[in-house]
Formats: sequence, structure tokens, C-alpha cells
Amino acid sequence: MPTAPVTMAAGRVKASPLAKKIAAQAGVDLRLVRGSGPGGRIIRRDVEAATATVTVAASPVTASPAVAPTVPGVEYEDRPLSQIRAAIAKRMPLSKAPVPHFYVTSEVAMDRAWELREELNALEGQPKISVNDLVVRACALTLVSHPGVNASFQGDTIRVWHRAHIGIAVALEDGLITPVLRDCQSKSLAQIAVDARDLAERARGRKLRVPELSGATFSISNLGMYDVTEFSAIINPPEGAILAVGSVRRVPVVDGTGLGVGRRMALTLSCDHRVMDGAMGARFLQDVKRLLEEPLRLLV
Amino acid sequence: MATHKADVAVVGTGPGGYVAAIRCAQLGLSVAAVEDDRPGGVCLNWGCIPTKALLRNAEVVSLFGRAAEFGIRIAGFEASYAEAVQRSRRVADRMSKGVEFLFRKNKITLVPGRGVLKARDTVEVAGTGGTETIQAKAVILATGSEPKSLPGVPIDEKTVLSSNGAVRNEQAPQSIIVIGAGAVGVEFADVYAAYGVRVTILEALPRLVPIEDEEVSKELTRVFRRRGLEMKTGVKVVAVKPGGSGVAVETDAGKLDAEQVLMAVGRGAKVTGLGLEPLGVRLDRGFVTVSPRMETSVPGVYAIGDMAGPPLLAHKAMAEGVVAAEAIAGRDPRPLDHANVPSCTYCRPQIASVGLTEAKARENGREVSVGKFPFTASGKAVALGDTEGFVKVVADKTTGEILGVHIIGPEATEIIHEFVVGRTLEATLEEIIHTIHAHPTLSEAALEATLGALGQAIHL
Repeated sequence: MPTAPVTMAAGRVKASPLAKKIAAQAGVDLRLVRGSGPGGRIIRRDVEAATATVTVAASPVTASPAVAPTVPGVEYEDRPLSQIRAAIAKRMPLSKAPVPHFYVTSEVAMDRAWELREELNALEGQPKISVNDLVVRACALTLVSHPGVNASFQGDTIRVWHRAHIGIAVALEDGLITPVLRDCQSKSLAQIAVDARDLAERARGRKLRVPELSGATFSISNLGMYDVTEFSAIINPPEGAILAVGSVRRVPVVDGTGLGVGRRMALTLSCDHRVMDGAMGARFLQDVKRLLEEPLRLLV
Repeated sequence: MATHKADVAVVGTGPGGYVAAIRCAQLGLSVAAVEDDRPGGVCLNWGCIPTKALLRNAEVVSLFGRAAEFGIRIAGFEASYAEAVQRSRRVADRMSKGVEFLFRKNKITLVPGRGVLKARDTVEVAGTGGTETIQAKAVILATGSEPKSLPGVPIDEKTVLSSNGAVRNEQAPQSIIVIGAGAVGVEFADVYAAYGVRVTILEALPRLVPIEDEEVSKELTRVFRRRGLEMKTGVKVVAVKPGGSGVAVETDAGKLDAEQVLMAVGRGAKVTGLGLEPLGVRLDRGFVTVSPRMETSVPGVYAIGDMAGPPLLAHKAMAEGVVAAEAIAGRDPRPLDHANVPSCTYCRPQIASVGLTEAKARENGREVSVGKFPFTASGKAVALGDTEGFVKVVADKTTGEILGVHIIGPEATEIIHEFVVGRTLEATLEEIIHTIHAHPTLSEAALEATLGALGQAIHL
């Protein structure tokens, strides 16, 4: 079962208000920062040390600050918990600590996406597009229209992220790491393809820097290449959800005229019940599915 | 020759030394403390505390002068300067006795005399009754500082005074020229002026309290001028000689004379005659070089307070005393954050600040937002009849980090602390504005200035 990177401990991050602010602005995941303040509290200099490496890195990932005009300038907003949400938040961890998961699965007809991908990959001078790139693009667009899924549980608030930083699970020999593709909401499919490939290659070459492994607001785990029908992934806290992507399989399908052969792919969304409910997860998945089934939408 | 054995020898019992001694004792170490004056050092005996008593007198005198504003008519009153000084002596005595009491309570041996470091574990004390030796596992040096003068100008404490002389003198002069407009200079200027002394302040830098924010200097200048003090800034003193009505001061902008001159041009660390050089204790620009644990270049020898470098402030010395004591006791003390030491000046209006001035913050390339709230808009200040000054907050525009706070006005030295605590906790403007401030208080001005930095001031 693919899981979140093992580097993180669940629970509250002890950090100063200033450290939190700088981290939010710089996109640094405080869980990956070592605190040097009293009792291991993360203070300003710890975050600055972490962001300093970002500047040095100047990788394609971190050097893409362009944000779609529809995205507000601030990184996030803290929405108050409703009473029901607060009650759920209290109860759920007792049943499955620390993050109460639930799962929503859907099957996507990938026939048109497959064709589109083949056409795109036949174009000269264009980057090769993978199925995963299509999924990333679909998720990025959907996260913007479903901000409730692009959210983190904060104890007494839910932090709704305004930008989609998508963690992409990469399997390594000794475990899984999740480099982060930043600002996916403002990246074209081609840009996603280029950036994701670069991240994955550098991940395998162990050339990623700590900041590139942190700050995701949502993650995607794809086991398609292993001929996996479907699976469910474990959420990478404090993200609110993770999408598990199975293989694109050729299966018999029933269409209007009878039995035929179609390409199908299973998507399973794991959701943090403290952040969202089943319906919210299902609506999100529905829209991802729609984008993949009408793949021209991914190009506009 | 008597020999004492102790875990720690502390040389000097000013605010750094006595706090270090007490903290050592609390941590279970035996302590011998050396003092050639009275316990409490300059702070308790000749500096902070007695001058605050004098400044309180100045405040009371000026309130009597303003009695009619409060509907109180006084048919003439007499303010005795001699009695003000006597009162300040009683205050100092009481505090010094307090230190002696704390030493007894903590079983600290007080060794009177002048301490000299003979080896890293040996302090020789030359007292009135002969020489004593202290053998200690660790030594904390805390000898403090003394007033400096200008080159070629000897301080005789008669016509040319230092703060040491001024604080003892029961006779106020008719007129005085205060050379130096730092904290010491403006505090004495305030006291003298309140007692009717003709005061002229000379400052070589372009403004009063030159280390403070420029707007603070401007406000202090405005208030002092209204009170009739003479001020000449950007003026270089060339010579100080007997002449005129007592002493003549020659400057690059003309000659002045007065009955006395107060030298308030700064203080120098007392690092000579202590045995530092033979032992190889490293110095840098007149101060002892120390590690974040307050240890000098010689292991086992610690230095704290004024002698260990600026800022020369009692509260910084006390904090360093705790660090040194805990380091010696094998604890892991948190080093001082020198960028977060508040600075306080007790003239009226009081001045308090922490962090960077607006100019310095901008110089450092920070994009800043500034909030300023005048005490004229504070209900409490108006009720007190004390509306001079303001609170000014300098923050980083993007993060809301509190870069510096500059207060001039009533009880400024008390108001500053919420910002010092805030900075220790790395609070931003938001944490301050979400802290409910009691009404009506002077501290509301702190809240309003913070709101102002976010463009949200309510009462302005």
C-alpha cells in the first residue's frame, strides 16, 4: 500500500506565528523543518534556513511563481468549523488515528484521453505526455473549483489552500517520496509534463532538496505502471486528500450497440473526514472523471 | 592571608554580578562575591535607581508647577534639591541593603575589596583588612563600566562632573552644560531643568538621543525646547576650561560657559588592573570577548554586563548573569538575543524602544509598514494630562514581523514590554491586534499603533 513519505510525524507543529507566516508565504512545509527554539519550537531562523535552500535550488519547480489571475494573492484562508464539522473532527480520529480516512472510487472511461494523448505525443517538438500528467492536470483544474478538497485540518480551523501544489508519489527502491509540483493550477498540460518528469528524474537521482518535498496541498499516487486495478492510498497529513490512480485497462464494455472494448481506469480518492464528507469527495471525483472523459477540456 | 574556597567567585556585585551570584547559589553552587564599593554596583548606588528617584522628584516638582491645570492653587512652594538628593540616597541605600539581604539569604560570602584575577581559578582581593584569596572552580567577572570623558578633559567632580558626581551633589548649579545627549545626558538635563537650573545640552551627532528613532528625537527636542532647555546638536566640543561663570566650553560653533559641565559622553568598560592581560583574556575594542555562554577566551573565566560589550544596560547584565550561572552549573542556557534588549530613558517624556529604527529597517532593505499613534488621542493620557509623545511600530510589510517599536510618552518604559514579549515569541502584528487591551490604559496606544501599521487604527 503506497503511503505518505515516512519522514513526517502526525500532530500539531510547534512553530512561532512569524515562522508560520514565512513558511506559508514561501511554501515551506513546517513538518519538514527542524525547530531550534525552546522545546523544539520552529522559529523564524529555521524556516529561513529552509527557504534559503529554495533560492539556491532555483529548479524549474520552485521557479514557477506564475499564478493564474483567478487565484487570490494570499496563500490560504482559514474557514471557521461548522458545529457538525467540529463534532466530526473530534470523533473521527478516535476511530482511526490520526487521520480518519474514507474512500471514494470511480471508474473513468479513458478512450478519448488515450487517443488525445497519442495524438499529442505524435506532435514533434512537444513534450511527451503521460497518463499521469493528464490526471495531474485534471486534478489541478478540479481542485480550484473544489477548494474544500484542497484543504488541511488545523485543529480549530480548516485551511483552504488557494493554490494547488500537488505531491506526486515517486517509488524509489527503499520507499516512496512525494516531490511537489507547485502551482499546478496555472500550468499547462505541457508544462506539467516537463516539470513532473524533471521532478521524478531528480527524485530518482536523489537530487531533490528538502523544500521540493514539502508544501503539497494534495497528492496523487499512481500505480498504473504496475498493472494495478485499483487501490487506496493513505493521506499525507496535513493534506486533506490523496488520489490513487490505477492502470488503464482494456476491458469489455457495454455501450449503446452492444459489447465492445474500452479503456478504463479506476480512481480512488482518500479523504480526511475531518475536512470533508463523502459527497464533497464524490463531487470532486466526478469532475476529475468528466475532465478526463472530455479531455479537450484539459487543453483549454 | 585568608583563603576562601568556593565553586564560583563573582567579581563585582552590580546587577550582573549579584544576579549571577544568586542564580549560582540557587543552582547549588557555593559563591564568594567580591565588591570594592557597595553591593548593587553603579546601578543601585550611583546609576539607575538613584537617578530614577531624582527623576520622580523632577516629575513631582513639575506637577506642582502645573497644579492650576488641575484646579489646585498653591501659593508658592519650595523644592529643595538637597532633599531630593537625600531622598535618592535613602532609596539607593535601601536597595543596596536589599542585595545584602539576598546574599545572606542565599549564603553568598561577600568579600569586600578589589578583586584581581591571579589564575583562572584564583581571585586575589585587596581589602582594607589585608589581602584575601578566593579559590574557585569558575570565575565570573562583572566589574562594569565607568563614565568616560573627552580627551584632555579631566573630571574633577567639582566643575566638570560625571554622573557619579552629579548623582551625589546636593547643591544644584545655577547653570550647567550637559555634554552628550544620550540617556544619561537627557535624564540629568530633565532633573536640573525641573529644579530651575539653566540647562544647555551639547550633542556631537545631529540630534538628541541619537540611537533612538528620528521621530523620537524630534519629539523630545520639541518638548525640551518648550520647557526652556537649550540644545545645540551637531556641535563638536573643542575644549573645556575654567572660565566665565565657572567653566567655559569651546565648540566648533562658538563658546559657552556655565557653573558646571556634566560629561555624559558614554561609559567605558572597566577592564584594566583586573589581571586580564597576564592570563590572556581576549579583549575587543575595550570589551571582554565572550561566547554565547558568556565564557571568555580563558576556559572557566566568564564575563558579563558592561565589560562584556554593549548595550551597557543593567537588564542586559542581569540576563547575562543568569546565562553565565547556568552555564557554570552545567545547564544549557538559552543565549541572549541581543537584538531584543529594550532600551529605556527616563526623562519626561519617557523613551523606550526595542529593535530597529524605521531608518535602520529600511536601510536593511526591508519593506516596512509603520503605525504611529499619538498620546493626544489616548483617553487615558488625556485624563492624566500627559499627552506628549506617541507609540510607533515598524513592521515588515509582508510578514507582519515586529521589526522595531519606539515609544516616547507617559510610562513608555512600561508599555514597551508587550512588544518585547511579542518579539521573544515571534508574534506578528496580528497577534498584538488580537490581544485585547484593557480600556482605558496607556497600552491601548500600543494596540492602536499596531493597528495603524496594518492600516486599521480605530481611534485616529
